[in-house]
Amino acid sequence: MSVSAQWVSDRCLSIKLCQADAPRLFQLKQVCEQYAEGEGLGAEVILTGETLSLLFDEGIDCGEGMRRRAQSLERLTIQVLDGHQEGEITSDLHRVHFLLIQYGGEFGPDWPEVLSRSGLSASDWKASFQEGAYQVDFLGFMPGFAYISGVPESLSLPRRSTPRASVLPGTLAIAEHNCAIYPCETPGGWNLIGRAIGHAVCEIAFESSKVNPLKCLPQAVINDLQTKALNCADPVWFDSNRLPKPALFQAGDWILFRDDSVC
Amino acid sequence: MLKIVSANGVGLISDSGRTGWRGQGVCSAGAIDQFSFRVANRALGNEAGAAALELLGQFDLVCSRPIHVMLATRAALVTVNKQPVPSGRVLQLEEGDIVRCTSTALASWVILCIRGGVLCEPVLGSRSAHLPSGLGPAVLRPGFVIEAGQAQVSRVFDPNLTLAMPHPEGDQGGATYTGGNSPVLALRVSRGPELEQLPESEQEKLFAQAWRVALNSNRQGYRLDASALDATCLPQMDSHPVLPGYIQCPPSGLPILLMADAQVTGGYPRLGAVVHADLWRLAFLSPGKQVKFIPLTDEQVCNANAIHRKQIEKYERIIDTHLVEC
Repeated sequence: MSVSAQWVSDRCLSIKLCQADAPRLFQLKQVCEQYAEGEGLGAEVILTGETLSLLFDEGIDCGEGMRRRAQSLERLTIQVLDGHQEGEITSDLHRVHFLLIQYGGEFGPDWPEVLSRSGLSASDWKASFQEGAYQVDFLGFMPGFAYISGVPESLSLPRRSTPRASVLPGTLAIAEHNCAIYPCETPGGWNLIGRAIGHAVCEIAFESSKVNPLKCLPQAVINDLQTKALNCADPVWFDSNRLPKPALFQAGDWILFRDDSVC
Repeated sequence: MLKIVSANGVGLISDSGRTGWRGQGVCSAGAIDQFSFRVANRALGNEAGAAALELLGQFDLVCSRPIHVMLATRAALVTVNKQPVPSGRVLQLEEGDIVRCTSTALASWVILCIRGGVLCEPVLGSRSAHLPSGLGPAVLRPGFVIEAGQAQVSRVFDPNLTLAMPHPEGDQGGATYTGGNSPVLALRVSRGPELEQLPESEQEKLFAQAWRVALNSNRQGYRLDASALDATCLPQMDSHPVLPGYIQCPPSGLPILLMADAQVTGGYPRLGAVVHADLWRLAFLSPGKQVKFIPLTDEQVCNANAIHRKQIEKYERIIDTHLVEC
């Protein structure tokens, strides 16, 4: 087995796994956290997609230290991947968020361009978008900003050429195969297509190994979420008092998007 | 203790930053110049990460109770009752003293450390303001009262002595200002993972020309302006972790230099990263000023960081051998 750790800068060491091994990342993260703490390295371990990164408080100041840390990360990765057990649990409790979306308007200045690039009508675009199996891969960028994967290939878009100076909180945006809700006002380079105007969440058991488990949700659950979302305007995407998980979304959560005009 | 009388610019409470919350999208924030910040806190007998004032522009403060302070930022203009005071000296302010802190052509973000540290409620383990998310203490406005906490030790650096605080003009090794009337701050950088995908001519351009910090910049990122790079060869990428000092390149070819409030992740290609040893120098940049990047090899990066670590240790030794009761 061959894995290769790479120094991205003097404070960041990363390793990328293949798609098949990505489910082991959470375990690798725990192992790396123990390693960093045990060695007194002063590092945070971050997951982004299929990549794990160690972010150090101080810049590396020794060539031998660079090599040693990279080798340690590769060794830990191989140990975790070698210990991979078959027969993973595929049925468990999952959090499902329901987001009511208002497409276009003040929050979606890129909506006309997005439609014209796709060649679809607004209703076809929304139908195609809302069919996706959306799941939070990881949090990053800004407090509470969830990278939600599942945008159909036909709707994916590159980031904008120049990031906007300001994007409003609650904005729904797309970049590549991800979408996200901006949790606070910030510069942003994604394509802005609308606004989340309502939110509801529930916990429910289902088999996550299905291609799109969201399609198997009982209609009664969806109706209940929709009712709650209609009554929950201006969701708080990040609340520092909500410890230990101040963000509304967490990695692994599932998302349902629905058009507010048909609710 | 200290009350803000007038505020013309951006005034923040900052400390060593917020760690452990990147997985929730929360960046570190904190003072840009962690070098001077750390030295001044030690001189005042504070914890290493005690909160301080970080100011861009001109601020007037009035003292309402005696307090020890230190101007951490070299080349900033600070007066007490209209008399200039040096950086690197422990000052005792008396009731009624008026302090004016002003950014200069050289020093942009000015750090004023206070004995005991600025007292305010920590949020997620830090007293640093993070403007985009609103985490941490509010922006400093007229009428804001700054209270001090408890110092860690009873002694301070001898008030009769002055520490030569870190200077961006190169006395700390490597980076320099050049260009006379239109100075250019030179920062040493490691080479980013996507740099090699730029044509060689564009790589040369990135490192040869001076980049001006555009006006639509903030503490999250400084947008850089000069002749745009041809970025058509750079890839569309999945998002990845980013840190202060990273140089991102959007398709426009005009790089963005990430600052202290940088987002946790980003998706634009990474052309380089300011080395840890030079990160503190970012405090000497602000919109309108110019910057140049000097690429280093891995070995040079390690050497720069090792020298930087020794400089910090040297300051600490000097301070510790000249402590007096206050």
